[in-house]
Amino acid sequence: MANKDVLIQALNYEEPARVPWVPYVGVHGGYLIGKDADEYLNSAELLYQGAMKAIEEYRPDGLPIAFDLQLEAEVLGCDLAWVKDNPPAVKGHVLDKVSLSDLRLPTEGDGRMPLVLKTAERLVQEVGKDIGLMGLVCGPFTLGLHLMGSKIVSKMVKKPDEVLEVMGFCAKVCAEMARMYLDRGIEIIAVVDPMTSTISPKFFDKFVVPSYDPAIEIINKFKAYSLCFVCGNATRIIPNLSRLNMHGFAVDENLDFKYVAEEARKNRKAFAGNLPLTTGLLFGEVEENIQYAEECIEIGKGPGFILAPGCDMPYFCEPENVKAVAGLVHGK
Amino acid sequence: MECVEKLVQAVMEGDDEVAAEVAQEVVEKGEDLQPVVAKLTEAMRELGKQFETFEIFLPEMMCSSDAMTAAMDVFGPKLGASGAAKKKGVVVIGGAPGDMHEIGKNIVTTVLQSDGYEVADLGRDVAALEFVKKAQELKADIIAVSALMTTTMPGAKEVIRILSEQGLREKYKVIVGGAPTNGKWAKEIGADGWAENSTDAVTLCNNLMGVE
Ligand code: B12
Repeated sequence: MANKDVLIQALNYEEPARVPWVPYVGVHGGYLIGKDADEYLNSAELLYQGAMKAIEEYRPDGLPIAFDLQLEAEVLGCDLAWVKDNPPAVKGHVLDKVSLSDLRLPTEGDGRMPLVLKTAERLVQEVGKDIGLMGLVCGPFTLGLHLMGSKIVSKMVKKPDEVLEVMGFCAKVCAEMARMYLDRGIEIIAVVDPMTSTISPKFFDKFVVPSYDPAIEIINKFKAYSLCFVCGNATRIIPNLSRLNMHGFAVDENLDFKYVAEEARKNRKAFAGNLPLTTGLLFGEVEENIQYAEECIEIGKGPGFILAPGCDMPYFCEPENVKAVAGLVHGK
Repeated sequence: MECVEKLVQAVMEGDDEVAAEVAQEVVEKGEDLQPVVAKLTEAMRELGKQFETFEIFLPEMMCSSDAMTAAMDVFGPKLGASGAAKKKGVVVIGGAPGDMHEIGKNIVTTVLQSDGYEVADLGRDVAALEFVKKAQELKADIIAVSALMTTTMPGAKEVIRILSEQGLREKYKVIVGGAPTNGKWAKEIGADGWAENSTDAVTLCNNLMGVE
């Protein structure tokens, strides 16, 4: 049996043969191979090496290709600030300089797309049979924030039509990015939209849910799997996430995982979470991390459950902590 | 409806245009601004509470902040004259070096402003030395550092280090906050206070300044 089979079982809402385990190794892959985050996220070779090292050390069932929510925004013209121990951050919002109609959909040759897509291709070829590779795309609301800055949030009240128009464009970018991954044989697409924890269920349904449709449509066309990742205290929108037309969703440690499991199960959806990143994987002791993982498994075990950290693993995560969780999953 | 009530309602509903208009009416009527500002402050405190308990969400909170700012901008020049704005203190706030999160900091800023503080917001990703320079320039009482990531938390410690190095530590109260921070860490780095949210941030500042 391939490792990824248990993950696929969970995504199909079946009872997996054992607990599926997906460590979100993003910039932390750079740490694993002794490279700074900025260098790591700018090299197909390093992204490949980091992923291979993570596979060797952490024995995952699924793994993201690159965890950088700024990839699309950069291509669209946002200025990034690069640092050595985090993914880059958007510092200049492109819609402050140009209007929406000036923006074009990203293509495969733009910005850092080629190196991410090349990494995807190479990993699919070399480990795709055994590992459920995940293509991460920036969620439309978070991309909208990158493009417009935080005024997108107040404009949801004051200028809803303007926001809906921006979201419409972001939805297309999201679908296009998903297509690029899917074309390379990626089987799981995660729409990562951390900003969604800041709005009400009503606004989530009005502004965000429709913006996932184009991506969902293309993912379904490829018969691939879809997940939605949120971040922060998203308690109020958990029922809405569970109702999305996706295979499942992922949450971080800011919420009650028991409630998440209940809500996901109402709609037979996969749910991933929620190992604590900061208090656990980054700063915790090995024993604590085993305990946290046991607690997650105790709450989640059964159909649909995927054991995963809350979000992108911090650069300096303690590898021994992650290995201990892998050991628990694999029975040693 | 009476002007003042209309103004409070505009702030609660987050309508900055109406807030500015009605604030203008209030000024033209020559109303005593002090009780008006007190009512608005009360409304903002209430909104802050509703926000922390998820009765309202970020879009609503940001709109109300904007409406409050719009009203205060209209009052601004008149406030000094009527003696209404006895400011409680001067706060210099900013995001820790390398931190691009701004939402929480912005909320703390407006809530402090509506509670009677003069707040200079230096934005996000502010160099540690910049906090100190600005505090000196504005003769601030409080330096507030917002850190949303474990990797940017050391920036707050750096601000305190620079203050000590320049012999200025006693001149300012340093407060810290942001999702991954806590009171224990704040003590460890030698800060004067920590607050979990904007409502508590006001209480913290009031305590540090010895005001209500
Ligand atoms: C929205 C968000 C973003 C937005 C930010 C938008 C913006 N313009 O601000 C975007 C998408 C851009 C973003 C980017 C990133 N983020 Co982010 N983000 C969040 C999220 C989901 C919510 C933060 C928020 O705005 N909350 C709402 C506000 C109102 O709450 P708040 O900020 O906590 O503020 C309140 C209190 O903390 C307090 N407070 C705040 N400041 C201060 C200051 C003082 C003095 C006081 C007294 C009180 C106080 O009062 C506020 C009001 O109640 C959090 C999750 C979380 N748990 O917080 C992650 C989170 C903060 N992000 C995180 C990360 C890792 C990142 C990225 C590196 C992601 C990536 N992989 O690319 C980048 C980093 C960018 C950078 N260099 O800064 C991590 C940090 C982990 C850690 N412990 O280090 C978090 C915790 C998510 C997670 N679980 O992993 N993010």
